[in-house]
Amino acid sequence: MFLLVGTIIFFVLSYQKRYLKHLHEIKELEQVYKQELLKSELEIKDQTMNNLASEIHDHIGQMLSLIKLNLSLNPAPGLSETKELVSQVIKDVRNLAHSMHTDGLSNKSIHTLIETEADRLRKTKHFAIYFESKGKIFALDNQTEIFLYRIFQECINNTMKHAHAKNIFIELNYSLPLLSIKISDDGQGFQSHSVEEGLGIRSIKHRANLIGAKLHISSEPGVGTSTYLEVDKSNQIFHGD
Amino acid sequence: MLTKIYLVTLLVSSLIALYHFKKLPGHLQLFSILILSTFAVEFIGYFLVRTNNAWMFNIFTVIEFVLYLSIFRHIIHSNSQKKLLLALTISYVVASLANMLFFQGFFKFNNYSYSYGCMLVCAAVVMYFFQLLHYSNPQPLTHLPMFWIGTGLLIYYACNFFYMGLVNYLISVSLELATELFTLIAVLNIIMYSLFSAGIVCSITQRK
Repeated sequence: MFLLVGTIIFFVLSYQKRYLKHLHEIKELEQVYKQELLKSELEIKDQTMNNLASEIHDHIGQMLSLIKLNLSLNPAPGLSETKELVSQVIKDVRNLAHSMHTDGLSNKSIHTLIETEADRLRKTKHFAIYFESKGKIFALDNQTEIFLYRIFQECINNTMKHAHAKNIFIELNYSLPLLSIKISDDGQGFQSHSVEEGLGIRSIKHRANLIGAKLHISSEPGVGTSTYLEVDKSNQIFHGD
Repeated sequence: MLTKIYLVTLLVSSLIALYHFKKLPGHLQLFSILILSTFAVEFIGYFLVRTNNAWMFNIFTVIEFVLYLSIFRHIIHSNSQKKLLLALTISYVVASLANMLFFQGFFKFNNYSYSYGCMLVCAAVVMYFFQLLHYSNPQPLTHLPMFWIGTGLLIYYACNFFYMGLVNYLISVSLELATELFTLIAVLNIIMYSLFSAGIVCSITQRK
């Protein structure tokens, strides 16, 4: 009788173990599928960005160059300021196109990319930008760095669109194997539970999830918003092949 | 008292099987017919207890075991195991008929062929359980009607195999002991038919 009960318990336990393993495998497969789907979505988004960047660089850039050329042929003295402004616009458009295009990012470190972007933003004179980098700089895989940069761009974009901030603080902290990036502002902030998650925040979350980064977004009305991102070099789950 | 509880449990199982009959898959419909006929035989047997009713159980147990083995042959996927079960079923029918005609006779309960039948049903359940362990898409055990039914059969027939095999010896040693052990068999019967009811209800809830 005991042998019989023991056999049935053994069977139930073995089956249950197998069943749980099966559930785990299904969950893993779903995870991989989601990652692949996300990767494709973001690749499409990147491709669109690349196309836009090419369009801005080739078409709008060329038109502006033509305007500059026409202006330089006109000797009227009152146009010198306009010429300068057009030159500045051409420069800004070129920088913008480079920051949007993946090819322009692939051979630069995240540190350089963020620093360049900070300089570019500083020149707009809309905000005061405070950039700080701590620790010894190390490289992550190229795709992860591009994704980090896109997240950074999305955060800045959100700040520019919604925050009405005067100051933006960017902190990079290199502490092997961790790289943390903190982007905060002194804008109007929001109540996280009352705001419907927009495409920007969803995109930030998707990208962070894809590179296995920890993400924490905190905001308080009247105080500002802070985005904290942490990626582990030794635990990079995304490979851009 | 226990016999009455057993008959009530069997009646409940039969009513559940009858109520859901149309919604059940083929092998469980066959199983339901088996439960209903078991109830009919046990009910008649209960009233014929003062007369010799062994002939009725001798015939019924052959049909009962053949049906159990057919149900498992239906749900087992492996062709070699299906063939083995068919061969064992034939061997059981031959052994039972031989026992009935030449050895224990028609009017004495054929406990040896019954024991053999118990062993075969246990083997079929074990085969099914092994099959479950190798499923590529395992479901929760509690969602599998044949798990409940198989567990009931295994508990009851594994114990009955020893009891029925040794019943003549037990009676010769102590009639009291044999009677007390029969009480255990009645309890196992109640457990088995309760598990059968659970299996049929489970089949219905899973199909919804």
